[in-house]
Amino acid sequence: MDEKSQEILKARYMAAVESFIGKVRDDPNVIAVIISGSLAYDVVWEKSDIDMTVIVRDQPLKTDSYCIVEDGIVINAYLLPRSSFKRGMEGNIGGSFGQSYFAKGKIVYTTDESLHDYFEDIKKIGSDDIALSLFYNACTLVFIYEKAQKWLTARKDPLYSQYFLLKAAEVIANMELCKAGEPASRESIQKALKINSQAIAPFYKDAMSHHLSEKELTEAIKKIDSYLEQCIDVVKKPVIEFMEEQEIKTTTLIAKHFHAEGHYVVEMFDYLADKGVIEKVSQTIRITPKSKPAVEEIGYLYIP
Amino acid sequence: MAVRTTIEISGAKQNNLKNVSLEIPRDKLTVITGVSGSGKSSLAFDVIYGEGQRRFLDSISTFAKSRISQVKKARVDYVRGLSPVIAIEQKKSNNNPRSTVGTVTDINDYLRLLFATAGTGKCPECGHQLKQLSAAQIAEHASALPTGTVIELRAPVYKVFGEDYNYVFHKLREKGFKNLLVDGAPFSLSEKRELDETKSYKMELIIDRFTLRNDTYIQLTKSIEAAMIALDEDIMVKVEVVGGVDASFYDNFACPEHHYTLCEMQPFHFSFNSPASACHTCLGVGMSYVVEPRFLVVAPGKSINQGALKNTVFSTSSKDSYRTVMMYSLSQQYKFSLDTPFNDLPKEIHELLFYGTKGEPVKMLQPPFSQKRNWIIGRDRPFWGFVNELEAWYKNYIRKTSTTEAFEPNFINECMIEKICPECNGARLKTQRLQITVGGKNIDQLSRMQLPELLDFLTSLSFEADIREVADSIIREISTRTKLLIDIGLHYINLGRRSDSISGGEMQRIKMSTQISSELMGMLYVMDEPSIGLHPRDSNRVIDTMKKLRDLGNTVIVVEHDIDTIRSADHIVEIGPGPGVHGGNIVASGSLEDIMKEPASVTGRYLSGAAKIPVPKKRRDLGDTFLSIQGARENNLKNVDLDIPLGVFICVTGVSGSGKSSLINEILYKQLKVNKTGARIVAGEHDFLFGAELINNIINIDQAPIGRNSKSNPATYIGIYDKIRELFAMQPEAIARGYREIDFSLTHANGTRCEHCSGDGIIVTSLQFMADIETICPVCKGMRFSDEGLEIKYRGKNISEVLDMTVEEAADFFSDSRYLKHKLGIMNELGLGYMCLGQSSTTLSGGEAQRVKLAYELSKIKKGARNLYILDEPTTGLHLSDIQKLIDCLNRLVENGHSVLVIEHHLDVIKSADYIIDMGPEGGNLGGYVVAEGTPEQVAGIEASYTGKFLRTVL
Repeated sequence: MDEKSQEILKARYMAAVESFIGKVRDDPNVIAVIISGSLAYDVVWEKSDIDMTVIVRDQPLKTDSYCIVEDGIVINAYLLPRSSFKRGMEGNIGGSFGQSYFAKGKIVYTTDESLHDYFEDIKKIGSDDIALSLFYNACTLVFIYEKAQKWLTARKDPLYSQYFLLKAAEVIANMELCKAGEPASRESIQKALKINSQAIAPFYKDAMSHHLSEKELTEAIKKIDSYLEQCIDVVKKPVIEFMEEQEIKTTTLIAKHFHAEGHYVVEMFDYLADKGVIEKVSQTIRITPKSKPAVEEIGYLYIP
Repeated sequence: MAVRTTIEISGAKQNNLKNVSLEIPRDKLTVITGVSGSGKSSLAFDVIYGEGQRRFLDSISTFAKSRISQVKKARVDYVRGLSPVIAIEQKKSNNNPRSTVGTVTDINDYLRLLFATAGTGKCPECGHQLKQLSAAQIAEHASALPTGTVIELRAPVYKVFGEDYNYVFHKLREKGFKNLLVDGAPFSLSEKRELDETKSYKMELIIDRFTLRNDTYIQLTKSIEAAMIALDEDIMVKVEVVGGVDASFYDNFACPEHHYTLCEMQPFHFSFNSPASACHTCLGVGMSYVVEPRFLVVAPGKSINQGALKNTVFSTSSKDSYRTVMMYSLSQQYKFSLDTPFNDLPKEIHELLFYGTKGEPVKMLQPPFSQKRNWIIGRDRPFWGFVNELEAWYKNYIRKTSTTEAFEPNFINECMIEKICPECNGARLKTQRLQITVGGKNIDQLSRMQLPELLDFLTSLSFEADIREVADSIIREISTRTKLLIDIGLHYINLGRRSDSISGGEMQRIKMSTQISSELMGMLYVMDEPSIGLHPRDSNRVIDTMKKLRDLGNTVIVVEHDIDTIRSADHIVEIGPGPGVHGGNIVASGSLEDIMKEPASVTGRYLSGAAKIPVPKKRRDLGDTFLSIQGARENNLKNVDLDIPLGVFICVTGVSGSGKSSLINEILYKQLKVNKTGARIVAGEHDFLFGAELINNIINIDQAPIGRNSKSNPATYIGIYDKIRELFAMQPEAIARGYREIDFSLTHANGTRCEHCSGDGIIVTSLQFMADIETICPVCKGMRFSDEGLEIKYRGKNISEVLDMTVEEAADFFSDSRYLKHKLGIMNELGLGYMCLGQSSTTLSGGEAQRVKLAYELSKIKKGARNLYILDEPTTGLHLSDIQKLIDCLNRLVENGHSVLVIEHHLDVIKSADYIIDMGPEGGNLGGYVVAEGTPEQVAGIEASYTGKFLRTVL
């Protein structure tokens, strides 16, 4: 699409937004209208829809999303009471989907000037959030790392192992952006290539250029490990912060703290134990209040 | 039609009642008396209360009926003239630690209402007095500022007890708050933060920010409300104007210096049962738990490998676990054997296991018995000790992040002991709530005041005009209720007192006072021995209360043995003449004079003085053996040192709340039990107990039921049923059929019991919204045994007939067997002759259960043993004529070399004791001392002793 057509199309889309705003302007319940997605920061095309968040006065809502139409364009409008919006923004960990969704959005209408400050604030990713976000991404990367290994060595399916490298590319790209304090998006790989092409190339360009040999695959998988190792000092921070009491933390306890599934964090914690950051132990438990026999649950221990 | 002035009962045949018909005057105080087991309770509770209750419930809808358990129809032709009926029994209330005197009496509800309406707060920084304002008032005030002004809402943040700053921040972030001010400087929770845990900081949370416009008011109100809810029902908010504002903005609005405003409060803000208001550490119980190392050892005689430790602590079954490796490595590094009995391990090793290596690393070694190599082998690990590890678990449990079902209430009961919560010191509420005061006192301080002090305090309060009317009316409600509790003799308790620490008698009096405060008239109250647990000094108070109930226009029916109560009654009914089958008739009915004149009335003889319990001519000399308690401080005890002579009959006396139970049940009994049997209990606070070696055993003969199983009965408890079964199994026909002893057991399936009703003799049919119906088992016809079983006869009687015999009859029937005759004879002597051998123990009263236990103890007396028997109010449910029997039995125990210690208020028992320990002088804070010690004659001579004063009248 040439620049001019893009401009015309974007103007049509913005007109649709304005038309919607015109209709809700007199509604005291509507405090702000925010657009996200393609219209806010990227190129639109004929099939684009509009992602919109409508901030309303605090009230119970039975339905919180509508597909509205303006000039034949679909507006996916999500309603959020102001207090929930404000707390959602502050509660979102920098680098998470929620944060990146709004960080790349735009306020197009508001009766509450204070919301601009919040919007600016959400674009900043704090150092602790970076560490936590890298931790979550690393959990996924460890999973991919192990699966790529499995398909290569145990399943003897190099092509499928190579597919896992592509998955690794996206996660590593997100991690690179996160380190740079930028929100992740569907364009993460393209953006990360500009920041650190060396880190992405083995899993993206190289992995898509040809069928990798077993040797090449082994090399690439090793590179995932070394990438993880490079990040370990940051990734371990939230873990150590949680475990600094030096008491045994079982996987269920860890999963509750990080709001994640037990099996999801186990692989990551095992990886950290392999690297000597923490120690793997076990804890005697009973699985129901009436159970007499005791079983062992995996736990981890941090010893400085 | 004339108004009915009596309750007319016709043809009552419930239990042992012999087709009784009588009239009880309405709007009067009637006492039903008679010897134990004569049928008093059957008449008062089963017939009168039961019928009243059933008819009342009959009048409600079937929908409502299906949700409540229904009452069985009593065996009576008719009862006329009934009113709505309320039974005030002696049952102890529930054991829920959240139940307090305040909650039971509903006074707490009013107190919370008082704090929610009239409570004032303080600026958390300077203590400036704050009045509460609603979210709307705050929003309205702020909205008066010019359009475009930016305001920030903030709230104070406190460090959570026992947690680090990270925990507080993690929780805030989870709730959706990111920005704080720490000592005035901006602080983002998304950034790296380093605060010194040992320091305290002034922390403020930025809740929200608004640029004021005409229409901000509504959202501002909602935002304040939403934030307060999100912050665990916080009540303190700060409105800060960005760029500053004229100081007058804060006039009558907030602290002029720190700008804090108190938000509107609701009663639940002061409820320790609301999770948002309760103390974070104890969750509103006021007590926290710590691990008691002793309880982690389940079998001290076994070695660790054999399972000396509780299996949640160390499981011997997992051979390859981290725990096993750790235990093996510890044993190698610290040179002890896992096969040595736990008791024989040195003290240092016990310390090591419970409290860890204090940071010293332990080299992980491969246990030789382990089949797999553990991943941990070869590494170094510190060991924190089982106590520390379990307490860390407990913390997770409190945080509700517990990961294992192992750490559930069961575990707490088994391995941990209560102590006052270190965060709230027993106040049960979080600190922010305790900053709210009425008249300068917070709700916890009021809950700890003894009732008269509370009453004085509340009545002295005065309020500002805007809330005066509401506050005064709330105080009026509290005062009325408090006054009633004081009038009934409960002046020594406070509202915060836990229900499970008050006796059945006290609970009954609390319920009486609640009834009076309802000011209903035309009701029928049925009460069970309200004089129990009351010192003679206070018995008038209960009598006065009953009279007050009557004077309000109610009918009061009391089952009672206390002479003073009987004398005060308008009408007396005596049931008897004897217990069980010998009773069930009306012996006398009428006024006090009528009863005294009636020659057949046992009560009458005691009332007129014709019969009485004699004062013993000689007291036993005290020997040279003593138990000695040093420094007793449990509850209200004032560091008491006390010697308790052994080998004599001792009576512990004192007004209610003077500390008798704390001293005897909490300290003496529990400590001796621990010393003698290693029981898993913890004695009340004291320094030492000397002399435990002078007794062989400690036995508490309490009023707890002897069994909860409907198949347990006096015969099984006393142990004679085994012998009876043996006799039946020895009959030629039984031998021929190959019956064993166990085949005559009611609990043994596939024996001779009726399998249709499982030996119960009745079938219970549940009928949804109608009462469950009990029908006689169609197979055994209520005999409880199968026809084959019943064919076996011993001296012409089958096993079912034997179980239906009374103790008296059985003693005669089994006169050939020395063993049975001896045991049954003792039961008979204790006045239990009327009891059927097979009577289900669930139907026994507390007093009866206590006497069955006493009979059991008496029947197994061995020469040479020296036990200490403790009995708490054994006269409960005993008629004067039965008390003599009780005293004789207690004396028999003493004559056999044992010691008997009785907590008692009954003067006839007190005067018969060899030695008296009188506690007091008053209840509650003013009690807790030993006022007098010595023989009844010596105690009678002591001026300060209330018991002494009453003893003078009977000696």
